Amino acid sequence: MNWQAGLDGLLMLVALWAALGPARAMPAGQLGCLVLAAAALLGTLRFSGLLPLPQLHMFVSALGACVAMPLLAAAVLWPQRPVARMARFTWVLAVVLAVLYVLVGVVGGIKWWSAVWAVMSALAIIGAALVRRQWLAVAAGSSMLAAFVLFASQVSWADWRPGEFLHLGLAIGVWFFARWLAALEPRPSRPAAS
Amino acid sequence: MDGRVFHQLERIRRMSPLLYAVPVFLGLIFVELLAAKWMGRTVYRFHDAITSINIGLMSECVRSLLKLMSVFVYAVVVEKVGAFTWDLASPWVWIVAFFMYDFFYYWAHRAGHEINFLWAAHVVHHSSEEFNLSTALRQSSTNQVFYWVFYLPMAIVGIPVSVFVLVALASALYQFWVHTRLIPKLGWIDLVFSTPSNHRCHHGRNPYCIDVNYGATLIIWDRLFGTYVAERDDEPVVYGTLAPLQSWNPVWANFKNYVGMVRDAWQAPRAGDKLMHVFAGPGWTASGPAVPEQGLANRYAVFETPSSTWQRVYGVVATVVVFALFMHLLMVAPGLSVAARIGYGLLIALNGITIGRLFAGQAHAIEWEALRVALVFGALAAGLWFTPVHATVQAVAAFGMVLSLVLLARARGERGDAVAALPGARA
Repeated sequence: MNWQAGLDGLLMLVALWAALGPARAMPAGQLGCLVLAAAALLGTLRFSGLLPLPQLHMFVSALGACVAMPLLAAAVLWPQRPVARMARFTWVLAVVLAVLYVLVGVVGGIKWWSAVWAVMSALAIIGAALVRRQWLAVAAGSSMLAAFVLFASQVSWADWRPGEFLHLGLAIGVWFFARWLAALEPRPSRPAAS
Repeated sequence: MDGRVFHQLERIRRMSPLLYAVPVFLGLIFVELLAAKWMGRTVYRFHDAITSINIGLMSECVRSLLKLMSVFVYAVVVEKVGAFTWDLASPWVWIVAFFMYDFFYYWAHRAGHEINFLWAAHVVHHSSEEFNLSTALRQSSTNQVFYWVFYLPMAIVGIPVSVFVLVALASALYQFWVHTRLIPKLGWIDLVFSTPSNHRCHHGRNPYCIDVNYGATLIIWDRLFGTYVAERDDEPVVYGTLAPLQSWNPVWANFKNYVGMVRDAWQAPRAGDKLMHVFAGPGWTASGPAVPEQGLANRYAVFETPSSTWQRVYGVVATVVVFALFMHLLMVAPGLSVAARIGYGLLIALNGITIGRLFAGQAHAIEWEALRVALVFGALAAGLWFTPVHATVQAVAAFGMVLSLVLLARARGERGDAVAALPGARA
């Protein structure tokens, strides 16, 4: 096991926990976390040497940037709107974004497409959360933004390569996002003990 | 991207299975017509069937243009993303492709019914108030723009483009036979496969028939995802949509719902509502989704317009002519420029429009049709179109023009007689 596989595995676990736990009531958050978990799973399999599917990993990772990140941003920007709350509209948005990526990023070969969506989404999360003083969401957006910036600037430190910063930053961001969601959703009240 | 994508596209471009399938389809329609007569049942109405065929021909013209766009994107995704390499000789690639295609068809079809802008494309297929083999040909011209998206996961797992195209073709051919009222329930087969009985429900506007039985070949997806219903013996299916087309115009059939959707979105006061008119289900309103009331399906009068004998004869002749033009287009299409194909396709669409106007008895429809016939046949007979044109074709075109004009004149006379015979016509 190496750092790359380990941190991708960590991101996968955090994203899965978020999708199956705190994000269950919000389809935009849930689907966003599931896409990130799928990308991280493929990364874990690839970097551990268990099942290397590099093309598929890169494709799903790009979907993480230009589909999952905008979905998480939609959850923060419009937490009560149909796009965040109703699976049908979440799926419509996800499919539209995925098709845009296929046309522009894959067929058109425009490399920066996914990076722009990821950074814009993180900025949107930070901006909306700052306005509403939702500090957990600010922390989520900031962690994700820091991860993208470190990855884009190709920072290395000791054994850590840019990918490690990306995965760790995203894992922290998703964890904060899940905490924000948990704080947003009122806990179901327990029946009073007789 | 290497040359393989373009090589594959070139092979697919030259494949024209419709050249063989369309005559078989028309033959089967004739067989169904005879069988219905023999069984003492009426399953065809003249205007409806001719309109279905015209809509089908128009759709195939558009498809011949747009098919390459979707196949090109599919091929590029296989090339750049395809996760696995499949051995074409192995049966597994075909089995996996069949199940994947059928599964994604289910979701594409379901989205086509449950998302308004996709319904606007798909509604054409449901606009007939009859249910027979000609309904299978009544396909949307705008479907091609959207529906390829649903099959991209097949490209992502690397299913080769040739396998995808053949599986899609097999699925389309399978779906032809399910559009009939003459085949009864089929027992256990109805529980596994899409069958005429299952598909009759899908085309109904009775409340129990709304948004059900989406499967293409297998009906198991509907059973799995809760959209399956069995045909009821105590409630005959009433065919058509809750907002009937009420026109024989194939172009209007293709755009009626888009016009309604854009108008509703434009008039909605809030941005959120505008989006809902596009992405919510058909019939969405700010006060909630429309729920069809019980018995509504039976209260609509089936759309029909009077037709005279000569008008019918002309309708058959005009359809045979446009069918011949369509077959010619299929044969020569690989060698034509895109502009020439668009022009040819528009000509076929224009034929559908003028025949539709004729069927509806609209003002000056006969005169416009006469003008169109004179221009099309005249251009062909004079050698101004598809030069050099064979002398036999010129002779046939000249004969076609004379025959069509005579038939139109007879139809006009018949209509004049009918108007004169109306009570109070002299007053």
